[in-house]
Amino acid sequence: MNDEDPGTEELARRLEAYASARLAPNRLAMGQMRSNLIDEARIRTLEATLSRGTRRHRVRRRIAAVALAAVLTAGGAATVAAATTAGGPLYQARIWLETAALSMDADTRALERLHQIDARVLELERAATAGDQNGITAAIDAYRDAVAAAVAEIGNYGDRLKSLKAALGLHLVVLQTLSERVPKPAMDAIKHAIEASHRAVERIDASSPDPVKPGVGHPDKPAATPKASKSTESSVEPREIAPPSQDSSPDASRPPEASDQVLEDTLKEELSPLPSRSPAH
Amino acid sequence: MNIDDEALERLVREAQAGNSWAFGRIFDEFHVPVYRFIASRVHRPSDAEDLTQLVFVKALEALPRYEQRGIPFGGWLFRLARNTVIDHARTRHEHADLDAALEQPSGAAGPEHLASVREEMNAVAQALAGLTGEQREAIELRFFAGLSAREAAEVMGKQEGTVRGLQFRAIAALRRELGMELDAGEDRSATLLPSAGDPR
Repeated sequence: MNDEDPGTEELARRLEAYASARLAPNRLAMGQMRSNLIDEARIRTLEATLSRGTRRHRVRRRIAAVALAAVLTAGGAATVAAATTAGGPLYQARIWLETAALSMDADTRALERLHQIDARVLELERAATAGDQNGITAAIDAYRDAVAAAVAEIGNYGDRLKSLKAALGLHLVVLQTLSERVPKPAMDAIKHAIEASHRAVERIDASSPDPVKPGVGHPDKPAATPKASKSTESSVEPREIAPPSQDSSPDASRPPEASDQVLEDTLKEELSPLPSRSPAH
Repeated sequence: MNIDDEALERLVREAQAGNSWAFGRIFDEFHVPVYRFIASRVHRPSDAEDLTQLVFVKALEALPRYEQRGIPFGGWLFRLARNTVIDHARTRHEHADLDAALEQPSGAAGPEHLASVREEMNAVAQALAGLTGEQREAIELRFFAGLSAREAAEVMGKQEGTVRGLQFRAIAALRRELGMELDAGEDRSATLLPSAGDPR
């Protein structure tokens, strides 16, 4: 207040002593309060981030559920199971539903994305073993989409990035092995998938949290998603998700998150496409 | 406050952008003064804690609409705190004033060697209780919450000069009540006003 007046200093001292003695907050209670408030802030941020897509998300889930219910009613369960394998007419519908059902919690969703990518590699292996060219192409397309979506959503969180990188490393070994024992068209497709995985790993390395880097100096703040590069804009077309139908081809629809801007940007910049999206026959 | 205005502005901007870490830092900076301000106006510490949390939840809700131009953040936040206390007092039919300070738990029996300290605290509480409502609020905001005169004026919805006047008279009254009057009497009391260069 005023340092020149010793009387004021003394009064200020007494008021401060009074405040410290009688108006001091309980540190434990304040610590808990801080934690609660930060949780609340995180929830609000997450809600705000997701609010744009939430309505669309719900609508898609409903459409998917209705479509699959109709299919199940029309055909037997065994028929449906066969139809939903890679390259089958309902394969995209199954992936669509899987994606629509992903958790909105970021950590859970990141883990579920990893499971999705694993599942696509398993489907690719099965299709390759069966010599199913359509299945190989469909599974590779789905794999690339799943990797792109996982990379786009993962943010700048060390643990998630590490898990995804480890998973992609394993997949690269599998893809490399597969590429050596499949027919030529499928081999080319797998090589593109390998390249996409390599690029995804490079992106993860580039996105790893770096406390020195401006803007990523604290754990709660993910790094900004890179903007789209014009030179690669046409490399992977952002695809709106069509409701699944029984006769949908493997390329007819994509997971709902593929249309999100963040994914579009990342896809455009980071993932190289297959030269042609048409399935090889 | 432990950070300068520029750093605070940055934190506010980041918190507005959804950075929970930045909001946590804002809490770190302001929770003690906010609690002090509230605790000086409500009866129970538990109420002060609840209201402090409510103020920060309200701040979280309103932060996207806060504009840095014109209103200092401290003034904005304490206006929320003031309104929260007023709403609380209205709902509970309590008097949100410093009489409550007389009922703080430190009035209970304590160790013998703290008797003189307790006596001093009681004297301060008594002196504060003797101020007018506006004078008390000026003291609470300036001394307990550490706001600048401008911020306090923002909170109270008054001109800065008016707040300085209230503070001047409050300090004079407190010194009288606490037996701290200078020999020169009222003529020296003008020096109690914060100097023009007072940053807060």
